[in-house]
Amino acid sequence: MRSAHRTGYVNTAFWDYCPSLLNTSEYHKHLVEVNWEKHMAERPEDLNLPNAVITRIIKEALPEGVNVSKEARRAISQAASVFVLYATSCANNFAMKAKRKTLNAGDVMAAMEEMEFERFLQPLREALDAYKKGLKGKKEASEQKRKDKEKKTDTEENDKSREEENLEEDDENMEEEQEGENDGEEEVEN
Amino acid sequence: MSGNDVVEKVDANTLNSKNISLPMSRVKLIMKSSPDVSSINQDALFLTTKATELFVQHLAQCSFKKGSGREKKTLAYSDLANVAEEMETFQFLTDILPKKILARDYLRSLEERGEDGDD
Repeated sequence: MRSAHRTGYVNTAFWDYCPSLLNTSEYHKHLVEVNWEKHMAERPEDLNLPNAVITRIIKEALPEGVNVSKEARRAISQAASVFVLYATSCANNFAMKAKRKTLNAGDVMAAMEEMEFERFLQPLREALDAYKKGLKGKKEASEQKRKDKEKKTDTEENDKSREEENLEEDDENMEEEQEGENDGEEEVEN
Repeated sequence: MSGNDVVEKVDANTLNSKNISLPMSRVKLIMKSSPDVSSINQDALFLTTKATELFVQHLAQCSFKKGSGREKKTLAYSDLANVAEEMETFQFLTDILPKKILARDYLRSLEERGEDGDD
């Protein structure tokens, strides 16, 4: 049982207030109880999403002038983290069924349907299209700039070196954007 | 050109092109904490991040609407706990969004049930 809140309120014992957990698998219960509590206790920052961003998303979703209590904000942030966990475990089931070790886009979409968030499917498809186009565009632009640069360095003299430095800066940004995407990705399959 | 400047510039560019606000790196950390997950394809990571944003919007809006007919000015924790209990789509959140009761009422209900404090 969690300790009593300052104001005298207490979060009820874990199972006392929970209605039937028909939608929650045993696995998920375990996940929430063990992983969640443990992680939150040890390294809460790892499983939390940035407060400023969560707050902004909430504010933009609600009518103007509506206040959101600090407690509500924190709760929504935690709910979002749990959503990620739930979606991941659901998507992973689909991947495992297909005997794949890598979670792919299809698995996530299937998970959304399974979790009864069909309303997300269309916006997600559109967002993914835009994202892929964006990546492709950047890649092409970056390659084009590299080609242009190669042409220039072949024929250029020193007085154009300042222009090159600007191109280089853009190039590095492009490259780092790509690398940033893959940073920390141990086994990315696309 | 300092290292920091370049990183900030990259983040701004990356965010704009993807149309998401939540950092994919953080979402990935959470996903990786799930047992049995070995690797995550970049598109899957993007979709999960975007879905989480949609989820935050959806949760906030549903919780807000659930209030009584009168003009609502504030979204409170209780709104969230209520929506988790009442809407099937948010049932998976009941564990982390429990309703709150006064400590003395809870202790009284324990006594009535004849249990020693649950922990």
